[in-house]
Amino acid sequence: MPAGRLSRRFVRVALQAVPLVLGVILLNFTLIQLLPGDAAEAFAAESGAATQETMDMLRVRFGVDQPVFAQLINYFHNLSQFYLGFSARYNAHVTDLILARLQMTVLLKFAALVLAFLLGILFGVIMERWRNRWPDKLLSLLSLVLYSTPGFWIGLMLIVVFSVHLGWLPPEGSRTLGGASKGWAYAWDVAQHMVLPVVASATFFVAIFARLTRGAMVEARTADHVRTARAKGLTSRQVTFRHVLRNALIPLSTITGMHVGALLGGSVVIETIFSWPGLGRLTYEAVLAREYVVLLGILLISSILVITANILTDLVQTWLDPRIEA
Amino acid sequence: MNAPKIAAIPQDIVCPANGVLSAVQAGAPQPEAEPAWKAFLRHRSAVAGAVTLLLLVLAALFARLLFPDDPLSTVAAAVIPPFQLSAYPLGTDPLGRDVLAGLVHGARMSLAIGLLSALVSVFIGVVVGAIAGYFGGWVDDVLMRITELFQTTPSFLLAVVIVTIGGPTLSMITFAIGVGSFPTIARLVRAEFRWLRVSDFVTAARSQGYGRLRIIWQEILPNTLPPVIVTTSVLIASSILTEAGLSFLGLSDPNVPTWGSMIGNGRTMLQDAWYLTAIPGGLIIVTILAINLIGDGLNEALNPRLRNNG
Repeated sequence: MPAGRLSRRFVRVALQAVPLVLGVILLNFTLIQLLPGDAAEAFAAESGAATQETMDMLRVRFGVDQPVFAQLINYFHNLSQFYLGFSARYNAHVTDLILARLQMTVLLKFAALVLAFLLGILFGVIMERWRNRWPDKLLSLLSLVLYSTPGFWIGLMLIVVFSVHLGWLPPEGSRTLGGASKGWAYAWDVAQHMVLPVVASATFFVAIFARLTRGAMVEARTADHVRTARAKGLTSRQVTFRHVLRNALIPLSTITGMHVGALLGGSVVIETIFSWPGLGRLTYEAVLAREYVVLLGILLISSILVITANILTDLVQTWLDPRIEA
Repeated sequence: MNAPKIAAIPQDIVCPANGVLSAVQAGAPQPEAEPAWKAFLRHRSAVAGAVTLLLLVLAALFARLLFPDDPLSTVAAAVIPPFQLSAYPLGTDPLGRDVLAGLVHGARMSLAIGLLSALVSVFIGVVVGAIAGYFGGWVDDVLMRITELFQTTPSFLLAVVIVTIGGPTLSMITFAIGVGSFPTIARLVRAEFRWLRVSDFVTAARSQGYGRLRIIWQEILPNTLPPVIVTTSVLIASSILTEAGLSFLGLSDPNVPTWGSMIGNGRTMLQDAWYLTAIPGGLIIVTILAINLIGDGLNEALNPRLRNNG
């Protein structure tokens, strides 16, 4: 495949994403306008009390005395410098707060996605291979139940079984306090802490991927090129993996792109349950503290993460499917 | 100006597609078309789902008759395990509140929010999708950009932000959940409108001088209903899950028990009384499973492509 095709495609989808990013920024700005009170009042409330003069001074400083359009320009200007506001409660810049937590969420969600992918494809392949027989029926029922179960409830039940009763896995946090802080021991420690939240985040997507893989494989099985491959004398396994599964992966990547937002949203409850120090946990803390600047910053960054993920998905699809134009 | 000019021709001649299924089937007439409800009833798991949901709805409707006392009041000793006392078959929580009463009263909130926020999504989605699909051009471009924006924004996070800012009232929660999931409906309705607006019966209606509003509302819209109904059932299920997540985080009316808040309260007792968490979660699964089974049944009953095959 010519290497230029992917990069040309990248430029195109990235340009298409620009109005979307502007839309996301406008949506956040609108939500900021809807906040009860303005930044000056919030700041004054934090510091206890303020005179009218101080309030006026703060309003000038935060720019909230200006017309809405000027505030919007100001907002864009701040964003261009990666400034999302200052959290009085955390005494830190919102950007720094988010960046400090971001990697933990990405780590958790990426692992969940990989697990969901592997298990989902495995289930789907098994279901299609034994179509309408008991392995298919059993796994269909299982995916229907997983599809209907709140992930956070599965998380809580996993804690009951594996932490409370069996004592095999830690129920919260991302590392043992006072444990190793680098090297393989540290990685092993974090991995153990990851198991339960990763499984809890993945279950819903296992169900989706399993159903989708099964359906796409049933369809691909009857396609002409698969019949040709079989006529050429390829073994059943070769046909399944090289021809049928590869085609089934294309709709799978579309669906993955569509669910990145759900995956990120779900991290709020999952990380709250497991006290996982990521963006979701930060969201929960911000809700409890009514720390709106932090909440809106998270919403903005998450939306931009989703857009980035969609661009990546598009590139993966271009790579998988040669028919997609650059 | 949008009023019909000539309305002399009976509607079923101009629009042979007023039945829920006929537009898509127009090309291939079915000799023995059975009514959709019969096709649905043949689906045993869907009927089981419908019966389960009906029982839950009845329990929710008669919650105040079944359990007239405030479900948040202390009625017995704390943390009685389930199946110990016949007066409190599912036991009590750490504050001595009847778990069963909480579940039945909680069903009101879960089902109401599930249904209402799905309706909010359907309303926004149908309006946006119909206008975008029918008119096309720049109107379509603008509306689809907005739809894409809401599809990109993580809907659970958006709901958390809106409810935190607006306060956990029924209308605010309903709006917060509904606004995040209208894109599914909008895209669906838009796609149907795009190909139905150039179909024969719409051209016929237009040649009769029917106004735009009448064509959109009376001719095209009824034909988009089957997929919208199926998608609505999926939306109701996901709205109930979202509400459970929100109230688990404490973003629900503190004066009313919800399934999510019961899980949230039970969470602190995981060590000694795991059933306080397990029971409301189990009820959520049963509810969502029932709705999903109904959705599958509806899909098979209303989707003519599936019906012709089987």
